[in-house]
Amino acid sequence: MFDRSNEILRHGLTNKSFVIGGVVSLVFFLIAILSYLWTPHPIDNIDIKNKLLGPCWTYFLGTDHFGRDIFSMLIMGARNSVIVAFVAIGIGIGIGVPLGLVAAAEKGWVDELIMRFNDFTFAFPSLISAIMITAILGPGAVNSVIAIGIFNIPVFARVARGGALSIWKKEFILAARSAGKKKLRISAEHVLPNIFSILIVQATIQFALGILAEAGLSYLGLGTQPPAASWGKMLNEAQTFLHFAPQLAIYPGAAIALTVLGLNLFGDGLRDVLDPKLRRNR
Amino acid sequence: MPLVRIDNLVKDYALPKKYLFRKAPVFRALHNVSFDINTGDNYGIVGESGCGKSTLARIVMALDQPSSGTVYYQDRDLFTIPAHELRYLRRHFQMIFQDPYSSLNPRKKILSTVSEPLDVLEKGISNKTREERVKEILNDVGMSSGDIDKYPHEFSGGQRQRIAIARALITRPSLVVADESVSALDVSVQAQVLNLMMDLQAKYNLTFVFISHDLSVVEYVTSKMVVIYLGRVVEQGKTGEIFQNPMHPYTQLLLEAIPSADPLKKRRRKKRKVPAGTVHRNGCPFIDRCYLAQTICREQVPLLLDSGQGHSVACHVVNS
Amino acid sequence: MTLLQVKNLNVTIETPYGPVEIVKKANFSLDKNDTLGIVGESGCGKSVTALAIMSLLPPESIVSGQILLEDQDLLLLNEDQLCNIRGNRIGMIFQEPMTALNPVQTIGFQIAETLMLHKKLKKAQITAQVKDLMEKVGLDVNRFPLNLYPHQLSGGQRQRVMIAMVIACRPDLLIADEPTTALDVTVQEQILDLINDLAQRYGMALIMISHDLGVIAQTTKNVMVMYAGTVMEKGKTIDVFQNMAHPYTYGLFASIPKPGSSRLGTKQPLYSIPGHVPDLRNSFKGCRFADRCFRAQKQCSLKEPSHTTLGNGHDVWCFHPLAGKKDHDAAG
Repeated sequence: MFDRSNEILRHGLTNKSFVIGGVVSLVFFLIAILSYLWTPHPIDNIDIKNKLLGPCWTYFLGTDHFGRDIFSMLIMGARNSVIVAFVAIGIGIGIGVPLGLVAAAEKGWVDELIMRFNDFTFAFPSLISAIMITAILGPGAVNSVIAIGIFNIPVFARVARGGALSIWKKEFILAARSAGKKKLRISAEHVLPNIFSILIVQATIQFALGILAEAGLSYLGLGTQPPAASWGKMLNEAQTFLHFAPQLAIYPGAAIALTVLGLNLFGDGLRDVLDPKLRRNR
Repeated sequence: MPLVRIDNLVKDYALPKKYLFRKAPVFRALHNVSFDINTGDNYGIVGESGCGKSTLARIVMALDQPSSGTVYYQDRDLFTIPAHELRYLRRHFQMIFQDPYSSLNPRKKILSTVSEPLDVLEKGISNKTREERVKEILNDVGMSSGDIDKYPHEFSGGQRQRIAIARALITRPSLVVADESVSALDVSVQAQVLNLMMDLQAKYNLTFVFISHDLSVVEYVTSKMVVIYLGRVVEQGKTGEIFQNPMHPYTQLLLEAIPSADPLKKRRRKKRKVPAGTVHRNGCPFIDRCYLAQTICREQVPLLLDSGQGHSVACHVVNS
Repeated sequence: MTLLQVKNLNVTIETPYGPVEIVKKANFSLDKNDTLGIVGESGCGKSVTALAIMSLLPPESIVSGQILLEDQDLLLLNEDQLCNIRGNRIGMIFQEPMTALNPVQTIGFQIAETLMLHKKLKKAQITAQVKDLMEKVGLDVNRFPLNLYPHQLSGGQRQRVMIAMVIACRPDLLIADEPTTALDVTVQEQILDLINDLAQRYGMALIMISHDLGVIAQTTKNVMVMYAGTVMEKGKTIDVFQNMAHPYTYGLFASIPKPGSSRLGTKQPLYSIPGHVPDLRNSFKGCRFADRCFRAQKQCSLKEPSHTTLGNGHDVWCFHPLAGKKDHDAAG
């Protein structure tokens, strides 16, 4: 396993989108971790005297209409995005992957049931449904995480099932069955490790989508609640001042765009790097 | 008591539905296949691709359910005994697969691949015994005991097949089904693996079932064989006898088609005319390729009849 | 008259592990109407040699030497000129007709395509020719209309379509790369007969590539044995197969069970070549077969073997070739 990860890294370093996306994503994660250790100012530090300042030495990127430090809010917003997206992916993987594995292992009516449930979930536009769920459960960070997570379930179920079906055709699965192993055990021991790479790639993409969804919900006031910082909420608050303080909207907007772009690039690069077939053709 | 008795196996597969509310049509992959495998008698199963020989192998290994009929392993019916008993019984019959690249999990070390059958069949053995067993069997198949920490991609095709053989033999089975196990290998490596299998047979008192489209291999390693055509046994008997005196026109066709490696021995192909005529639904399945075809062949499926000394043929003309 | 002459063909592929010589110093020639078999195990360079003749190797491969089709060196031609040669003067039949045929086009169109590309013909003429070709490869147009798709045919029938496409322009040279490996033995016989018949009828030279000694014995007059990218032995098929001089050729023959032999009767193991095919990424100083060879001596792994002529075009690249039956018996 060890020499394989070395090999992946070596091939990865020749892949542009893997490197650029990786660096952007890494910076994003480091900033999120940084928020636990240090922010230039506490984000609930309201300083009305110094509201709507431009960039200066005390406030790197200026202040908002309450005089809060924008740079600190961006750092806290990154943490918020990471947590929401991580938990949402956790829900998706934790429920979706087992469902997909079971569907591929059992086939027949179990498969049919799981996949039709999947189709049912897919039939609703995810963001609008997330709005509906948070509207019913009440706005808040936890509920928005659940809403985003629910829509990750069918995505992971489908990806896991597709990957698992091709693994089930391999002869080492037959060998495991000849050894008397049960289907669920085979799924865990043989199938899962072999679809791991496609799940990782999908997780990166869902991560970016999760950040976007969280920003969307917070923008609508359904996600993270004040005084916690969120890029979506920052955008929402900025729109009132768009004419005379456009920087308030530009900073969180750029943060969202850059992070999502970076993660998507990284996901694309990772797929190319992990897939030996693509690697050879290049 | 035969080691394995294959009793009237029938296997139907559902084809894709043509109409939404009608029953799906079925394709019969095996038609009433019966034969016995005795301890020490290597059995060959021969036929073209799609004739049902791999389906048969999977059913004998209890990896697939038959539609009707059954398989007895030492008088125990594999498909009626309780699941846990079957799981225990599996240690006695193992399989070697065709493709050495797909039969080993690329993400597992050789130790865990080879010892896999022990996980269930001999639960509770210590890690130390397990490792010793793996090393011992690896030595038996001509690999080194230092290979246990390697991954499959570090080995050549022939070596991988040796590892697959080690996995099949680690539970000390009495029956090993080899499904096209040497056909993916290069000629020079194929001979090594065949020799290895024969040596192990003597050492472990194994009985092999060889499924192969390569007739020279079957002739070399088996003592009895069946020829299958479109899911039916058309000829059955001692291997030497069938090769010397093939009676079914299909067997004749198969044997004549093997290109000889001797350039002086041009094919002894006999130009035989296949009489034309409409094929009846219930007729002999081979009729549209058969030079012996007669009226009765168009109307009835021939039965597998013993023509003396255990050599049976399913052909109206030969049997009359 | 010589149709194809390959001189000092080297094929090297750049890999992350450095350059790998997958064909080294291959020399052979082929007369009009003649047949040549290339036999060897996987990775011996037999398919690469064929692709080199077609100039169809991937761009990262470096080809040197000369491939003369009559007086034209194919390695000096540009892509446009090569397109004129491929299909028109050299045709190639591949192993797996399902992947070699386009699944979304009808077989009639695919056969017609080569004709449209290389010959200026009217539509009606093309249809007539396509039908004619179908008959020639043994596909009855009434049972197999031109608007069928490849997946509606069996493997053997698809291979017949492939052959029809290839012979459409009556190439001077037909290359068949393992044309029957994916087929059943009874179908294999029919396809080999068809290829041989057509080659003879239209005066096409044939290069038959196979790992199966039987296929080569039954379809070719000359043969070349390759191992790990190098030619080991070549000559008339009868000479090489009856009186093999290279220990490798001997090993190949001894490794296949003889007709009528049974392990159960003799108890004697099948002859087998020890070890396995070398990794071509290694560097070789001497004979590439040396470490598996039962006659190898010190110099074999130090110096490349020069070739020895045994007469009648029978050449062997070995320091210690087997001489006649006495050596064969001693080896077995």
